[in-house]
Amino acid sequence: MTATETEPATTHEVVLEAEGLTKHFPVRRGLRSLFTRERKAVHAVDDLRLTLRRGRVTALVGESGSGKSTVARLLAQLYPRTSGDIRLHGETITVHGGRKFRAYCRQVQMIFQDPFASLNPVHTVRYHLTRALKIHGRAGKTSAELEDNLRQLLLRVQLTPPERYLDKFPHELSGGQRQRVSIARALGADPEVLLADEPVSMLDVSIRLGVLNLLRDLKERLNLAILYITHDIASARYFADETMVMYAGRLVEGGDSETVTQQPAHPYTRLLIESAPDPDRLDRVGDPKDAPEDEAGGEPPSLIAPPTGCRFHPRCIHAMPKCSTELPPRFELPVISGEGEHWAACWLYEEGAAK
Amino acid sequence: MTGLKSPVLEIKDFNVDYGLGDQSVQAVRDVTLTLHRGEVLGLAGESGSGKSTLAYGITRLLPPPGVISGGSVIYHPPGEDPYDVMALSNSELRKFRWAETSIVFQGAMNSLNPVHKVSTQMLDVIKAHEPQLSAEARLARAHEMLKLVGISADRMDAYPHQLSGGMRQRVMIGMALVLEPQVVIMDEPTTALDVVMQRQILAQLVELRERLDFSVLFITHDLSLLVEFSDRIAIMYGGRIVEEAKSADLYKDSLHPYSEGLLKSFPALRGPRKELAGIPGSPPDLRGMPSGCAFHPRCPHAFDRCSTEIPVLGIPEARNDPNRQVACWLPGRVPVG
Repeated sequence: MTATETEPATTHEVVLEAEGLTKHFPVRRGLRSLFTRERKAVHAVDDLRLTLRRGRVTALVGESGSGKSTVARLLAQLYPRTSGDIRLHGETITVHGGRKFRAYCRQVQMIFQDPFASLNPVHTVRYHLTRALKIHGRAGKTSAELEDNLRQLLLRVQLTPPERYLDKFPHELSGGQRQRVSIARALGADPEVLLADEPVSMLDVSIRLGVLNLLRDLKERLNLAILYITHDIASARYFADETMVMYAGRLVEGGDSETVTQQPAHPYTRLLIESAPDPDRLDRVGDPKDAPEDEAGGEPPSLIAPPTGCRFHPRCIHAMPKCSTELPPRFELPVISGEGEHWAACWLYEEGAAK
Repeated sequence: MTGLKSPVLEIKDFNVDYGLGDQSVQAVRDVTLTLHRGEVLGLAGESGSGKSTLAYGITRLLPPPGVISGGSVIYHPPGEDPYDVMALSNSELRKFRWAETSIVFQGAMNSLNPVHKVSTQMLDVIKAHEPQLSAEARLARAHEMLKLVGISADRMDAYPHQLSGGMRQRVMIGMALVLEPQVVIMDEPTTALDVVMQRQILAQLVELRERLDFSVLFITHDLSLLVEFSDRIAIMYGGRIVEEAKSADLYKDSLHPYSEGLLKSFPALRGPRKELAGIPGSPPDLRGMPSGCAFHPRCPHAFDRCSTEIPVLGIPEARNDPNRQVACWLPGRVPVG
């Protein structure tokens, strides 16, 4: 279905890696807690391992509040991390701004959720794109070269003819066109990695696929590594090669998109897939037994004091005593079809996993 | 889900403009729609298609510069004579709202007053509409309602910020149902929630509907959700209804190219992986509506007639089914007669 299936897997070199990535946000202390010793923190992301490869789309799926946007911001170095490693081409990188940050974001660019907020309303498309090109030193020497580069950028995101869009203000564009402009701006740096934080969830349903197809096309032509963050697991299946599921700050399952969505292993992934709207399920309308696999009524836990052990155990119908005390590691699962790996962080798979 | 029953709300030739004079834009055009007793009617469309405007219009909650420029909304109270909501005086309207028709708003989680307890807000509703009830009876009613929507009685005295998003949404639904209205309008009630919570709340709603027998007008942009949860679906585009059919019919055999495109815009979670395209172009701007069929610039099947004449909503020739209507000039979809 995608070009990646025909190429040997070895061409997908690792671009960006995260190992043990952790982010805790300190909680403001009230008067009452001023004299106690404990310092509370929101455990937004804990011990996350993630690999982005060239020419591959990796989806990160989770509920709101699961920490998925924090992951994008950590990878973009917009937040300092509490601990862990971010490696670009194998080298650990920590930047806090300035020249080093620019050099980093030349390679790792971010696309934000809301194209209505991420473009400056008082500037034209030309200004936004010129600025991106100039900052990253790709504007060319003459104004003719710059003009040509601008045209190339707009052509890449399928805004044709480019002349019609260059001098428009953001309010003159539709949501889909705006998102395309912000993708063009990200491409202005000629990056290797795109971090797309819910790039289509603010767009109208009918144009979402257009933008996803554009991103896939860019991935193939420019050999980009894309991190696609979403709450919609069906779109992850459609768009991503690899899918990771995040729950309450931890990854719970990962693997080939088709495998994860068709043979979900972790109880949370199963719950997520069961809950997604499914028009083919017409006969089961309104059956209260529709949403199984959930004991605690759909409430994600507080991240200030996350549950011990597996963070899903208070909601899990398969929970065992072990689940509430010990944190499950990743267990490799047998892959039924295709290459790639499939793993779940769940004690249910302890025995089945390769010794 | 069974055969169609008597109507409870009949919307006829409804028009809404924003602004007056030549500055005005037409947000809702000639909408005729009937909500039957005990059914869930889904209203789907993209942003700017006029679906929320329609909901606010029929309850006369439309804030200025919105103007209802024509049409009638006939409400059929059980066992009484029907009347036109548009002709009600302010005091009659106040009685009509919430007791007969209630709304769960889009950002329902934020429509609770943050400085009052849930119980205060709930009791307030009952007090305003049924002043003859004693304080104990009111409290009992509020308790009972919250229990129905799955909130335990000890949460009655919580402030909204102490509840999670899903619980706040349930409180809102409970509040909308507390006077046992005949019609509940839900404007994107679950958009801000996670899929897991969404399914729970909707399953609960379906269960409550069976018990209390109210009708629901369910407005959303998520067509795949509607197909699963509603009995009938009306699709709006550019302020008009372009297709109306039973959910299953619409899903399996949509007649309007827009409905078809919309259905193909949702990647499937099961079955074979398909290449999908969405719909090319972008939704129309109300200030510059295309001539003829509003969808023709994006339509893959458009021909000459589409850009000049506005198609009328009617029972399509090819399917002689009184339960479905479509507004399209394509062969076989032109209305009979």
